[in-house]
Amino acid sequence: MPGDDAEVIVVGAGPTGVVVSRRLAEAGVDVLCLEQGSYPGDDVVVGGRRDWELAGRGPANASPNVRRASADYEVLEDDSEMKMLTWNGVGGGSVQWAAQWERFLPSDFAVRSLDGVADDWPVTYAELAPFYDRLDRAFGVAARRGDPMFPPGGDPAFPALPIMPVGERVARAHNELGWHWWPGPVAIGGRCKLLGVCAFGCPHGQKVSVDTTYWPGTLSAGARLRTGARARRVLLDRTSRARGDGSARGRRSRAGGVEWVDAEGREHVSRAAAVVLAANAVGTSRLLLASSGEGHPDGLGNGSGLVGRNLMLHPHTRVIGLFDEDLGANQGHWGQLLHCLEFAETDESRGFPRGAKWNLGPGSGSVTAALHPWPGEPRWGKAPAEHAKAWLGRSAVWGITADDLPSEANRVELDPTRTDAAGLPLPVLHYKIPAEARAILGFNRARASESLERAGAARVLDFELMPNFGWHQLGTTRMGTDPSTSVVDEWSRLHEVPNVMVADAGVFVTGSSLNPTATACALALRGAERLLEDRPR
Amino acid sequence: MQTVAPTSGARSHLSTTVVGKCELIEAVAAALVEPAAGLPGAAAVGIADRIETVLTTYPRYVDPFGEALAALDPVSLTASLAALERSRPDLFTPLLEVVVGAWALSEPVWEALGYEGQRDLEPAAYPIPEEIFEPLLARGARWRQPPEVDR
Repeated sequence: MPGDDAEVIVVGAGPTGVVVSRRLAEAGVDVLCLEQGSYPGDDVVVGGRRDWELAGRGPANASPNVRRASADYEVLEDDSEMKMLTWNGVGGGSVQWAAQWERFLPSDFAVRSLDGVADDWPVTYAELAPFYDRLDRAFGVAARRGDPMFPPGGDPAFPALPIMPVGERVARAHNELGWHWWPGPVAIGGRCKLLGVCAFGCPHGQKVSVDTTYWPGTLSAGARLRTGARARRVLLDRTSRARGDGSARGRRSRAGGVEWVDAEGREHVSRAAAVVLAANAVGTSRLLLASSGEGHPDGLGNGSGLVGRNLMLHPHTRVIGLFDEDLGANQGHWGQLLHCLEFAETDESRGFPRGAKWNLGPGSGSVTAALHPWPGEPRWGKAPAEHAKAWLGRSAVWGITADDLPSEANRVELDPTRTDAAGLPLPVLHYKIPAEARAILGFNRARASESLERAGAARVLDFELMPNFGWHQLGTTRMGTDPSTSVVDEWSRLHEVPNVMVADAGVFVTGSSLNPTATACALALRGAERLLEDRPR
Repeated sequence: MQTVAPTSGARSHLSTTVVGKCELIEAVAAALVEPAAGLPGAAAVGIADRIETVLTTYPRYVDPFGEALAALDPVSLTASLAALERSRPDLFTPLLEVVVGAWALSEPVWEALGYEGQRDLEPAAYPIPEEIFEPLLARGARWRQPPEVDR
């Protein structure tokens, strides 16, 4: 099809895909982005509706297995202790995220050197900091400088958003406890109206959702975006195919394009000088594994056998404080009024390496208040009314995310028989929460209960695990300098096919406990700069 | 409950699910959401029509809702609901979500809660007091500097 070839093809129109597309387009590169879904419709962007919470349990659900929209592919996760959340379409995960815009800690890049576990990254915080800075402004981040958990720096576009009365209570409690807190950095514009519906779509357009905040400028810069285009294989170029490259470790091949299927089921081949994969750590590894062929029988770029391995899903739980008085705690930006990194760093006295990140969110509306499970208690009878009364406006929620260290046993595989409508094998997740991560969650649940009790909560509810909160998919195409122990190099290029770059969080070597989007975007922008440097002149 | 005109397959299916079952639906809803904490129960908010609205808006609920109703014994409803919760959570949970959702979105419940829905607020009305940063900043920098890596 004329017009479907490009100098660079990007697969996936989420945050990292658009960051790469924008940078390349602005430099004059002919970029075509293939996106399996479409722009989010009013069945997904529901924050302005009275019944937004009910919509969130159906068509606006963050689980593709619940949502089952036409762009979704089923994720086979019976053998996974965390269930994956994502949105497939223009904007990707940013359509339904809470816009928590976190840098990783400097120590997150050096856990082997500092803590003796897993591996160091081939990139340091200092190397990534300029890219974080550029994205702070490009995304329109609201934050307060000077967080003592991070090196000086940052270039937020807006001052921190309010922490609201409930956040102030918790902040003062942490001051009494001698614990860290800071206004949570978020990718939310300065005209936020504190509606508290961020993850369901901001009616005021203040939450960064890259379909509306970043793609228009990217298209204006010259990038092309084709929706309803499901990538099915990354193809080698003719020369590599003729040589049977990839059969011997260390021998490099070159990609020549992408085979994809449109919404009507028609097959296409788009040729390109380089391919960028930004389909999330499950989607990208699935595509690489499905791109096996002569000379690379186990998947493209998979001479190490590590494509799909080292899956990390950030085990998550919640501790909820219920206050006697109405604090208006159903309002405020939804993701993190505060964050707490007091227990994010390793402390050997706790008996486990690494730690957790906490984000304090407001409660929600009347439906969630009435329906939210309370551990071990009835859900019906008098319970819905009692829950609604106790929760609405009176609740604060600590979300707790554990750093789950990589394990090769945690992995994405292809189902041998089942495929999606485009013929691409369905991904199978095998994921067991590492013992260290369970210990991290247990320790931090207890501390978060102390936090809320000190803040004056009359009752605290805590959960061992929120298994349906697998928001973050990481690690399946890990970065490193040794091709035998990693999939991509320090510039996010496949060792064996260096004109294929992975732009999503699959390249993470370890998980950190902080939200991954800012780091994934910073690495993607850094990789895009390298692509430009390597471009034939 | 209003009669539903079968304008589409889904609509017709909805009719089959709810028409003629108004009494059962109201009884089930009354058992699932009793009055408490100063809030009205489902029986006091015209729940059947509200349930129909939810099912019309979210047709994915229609089948499990209908199956759940069919599985209940109207003579011993409370025991029947408890058994369904234990044995068929795939039916009970959608049933509960529909009923509680319809109830929790109703005007009488919002009024009793003093809830006006999510409202626009002005950030300037919620300044962060500068003094609360002082104890935190007094503790100094907390991040760990990794050792220099030789590349």
